[in-house]
Amino acid sequence: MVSKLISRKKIPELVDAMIGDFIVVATTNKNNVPTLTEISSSDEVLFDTELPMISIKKLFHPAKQDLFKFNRTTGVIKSCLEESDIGVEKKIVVFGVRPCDITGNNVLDEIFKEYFRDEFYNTLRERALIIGINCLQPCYENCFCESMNSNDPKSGYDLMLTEIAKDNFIIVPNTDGGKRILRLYPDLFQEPTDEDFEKYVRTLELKKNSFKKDILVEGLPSELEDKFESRAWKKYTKECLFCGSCTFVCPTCYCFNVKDKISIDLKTGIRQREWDSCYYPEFASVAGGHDFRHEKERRFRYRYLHKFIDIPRRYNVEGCVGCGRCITYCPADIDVRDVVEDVRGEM
Amino acid sequence: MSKPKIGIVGFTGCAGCQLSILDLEDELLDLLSLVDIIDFRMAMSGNKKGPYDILFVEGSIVNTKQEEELKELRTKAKVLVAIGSCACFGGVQAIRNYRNDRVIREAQYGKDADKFPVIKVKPINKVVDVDHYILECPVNKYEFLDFVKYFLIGGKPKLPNLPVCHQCKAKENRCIFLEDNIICMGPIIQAGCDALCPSYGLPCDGCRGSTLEAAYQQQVDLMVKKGASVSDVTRFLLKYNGEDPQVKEFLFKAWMEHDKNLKYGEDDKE
Repeated sequence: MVSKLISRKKIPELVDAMIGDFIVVATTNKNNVPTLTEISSSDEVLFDTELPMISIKKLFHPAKQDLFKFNRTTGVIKSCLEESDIGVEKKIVVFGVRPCDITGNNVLDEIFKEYFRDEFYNTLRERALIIGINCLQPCYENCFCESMNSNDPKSGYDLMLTEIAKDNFIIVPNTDGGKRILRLYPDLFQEPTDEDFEKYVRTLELKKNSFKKDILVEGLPSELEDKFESRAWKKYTKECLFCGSCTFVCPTCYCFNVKDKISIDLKTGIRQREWDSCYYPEFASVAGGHDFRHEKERRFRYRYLHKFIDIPRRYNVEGCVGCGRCITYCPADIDVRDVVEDVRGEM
Repeated sequence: MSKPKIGIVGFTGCAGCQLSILDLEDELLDLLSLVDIIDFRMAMSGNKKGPYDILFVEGSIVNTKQEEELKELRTKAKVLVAIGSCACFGGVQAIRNYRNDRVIREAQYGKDADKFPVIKVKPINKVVDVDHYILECPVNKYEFLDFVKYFLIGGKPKLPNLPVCHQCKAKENRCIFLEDNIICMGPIIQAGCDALCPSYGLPCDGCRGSTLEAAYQQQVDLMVKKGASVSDVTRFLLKYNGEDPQVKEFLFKAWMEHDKNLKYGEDDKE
């Protein structure tokens, strides 16, 4: 068995050891809000905190990203992947990722890796190793991961830490990359005993009982499809500010806009992409000026339909992972669970 | 092709926009290799009054003399661009439109108030046709530069039409509205400033004007729910955007409904 045991007080040592060999990203208190940042010491890490505001998606699909440089007169283009430091050997280790974020990133993997291969996403993604930390109970009141079947991902991480008893963690590798990390620092780990494994199995059993379902997703796509003109959409449209915050903090929202920036010489320029939100007025406008979702209500409804109908049907994964960030960071206190239930409950 | 001739003029305002353009220190020399600045009173002497290929106008119009002057300038300019909040939405001085202007003039000039006749504060598009708007107070110098670049290659930059929350979240700022209960106009104000104020823990003041289809009523209701009064919130909106047509309609209604004691828009005769 390749799983290892690590005590709680050794975990900061593990983080510090990894800083020497990798670029380590973890949740810190930068800007007075939980934020994933590159760290230079384990002192910066918030070990027992709730979710960072922006999920790990920002590491692979940044808020703003340079795509390529172009020359308007010669027509030459040069990908920004070639000249950035993305190609350097050092891998990134993301430490302490929650199961819902791992599942969320699996959705992005599905879209950017399988459905449409996006080189920019994949170059960053392939460079990262993810060390997850298991949630043994719901982390806060807005969490509804159990409803979205997202708190027990089978893939998308390299190592998973699970607290089995007071101050002891079982660390289970899921990929070769994970095994390599375990081999790199043998002094920090112990061999787990049979008793530890029993505890581990028991912990996972207990975990199952600690979560309850807030909403039932079985049959949700077709139910929502039948409630296309529900009054509930109107009700929430009147509360929503259309600021788009929910889409940026969402681990599975991936929409972006592409823009060109011209240099002062008027010949060269750079093409960039940045996050966009389906809540914004011009999101669905096309060449010729037609806007497919010119009414606010349509835009409000669209996001829900995309998450709960389109993504499950097209990619066979849940489009929402139940992390609850959109509830936490909504200035208008709109709760995705209430919206779904209201729409569903309407006759 | 000869270099396009550019003018930068100012009406009533703080001249901060003109200063912002001068503040393009790293780009100014490159800019001058692309265009001829023929009229820029703040920066140079020997100014020529047109003809201009692009005329940038700062400030709002507050009296009839300025109106005539602006109309005259319009005839000499191929393209006229409003820069900054005053020229686009009336700016801070547009607050006067919501008050009794006689009281305001008397506070300033005493018995001589009549010697300073004024009209209602107008953004420049109420006097002449405006081809493009560049926002922010003072004007965003990079957007100014972008406009010049796009003009030279034959186009026009697009307004971002995103709220400030977009850039605030992208920068991973703490949400001062949710966490610290500070009134912030971020959700309904046009982005482009890179969420400058919220990045330093200050609320968005709304200097870039409201975003397309802004949700005013929801914004006011929310702020009131958090403990602000309706006049607090509307005052925030009024600060720079008194003559933004979208905001104006809303402000009048909100004030009339919620705060009947305040006689806003008393002098509402054009």
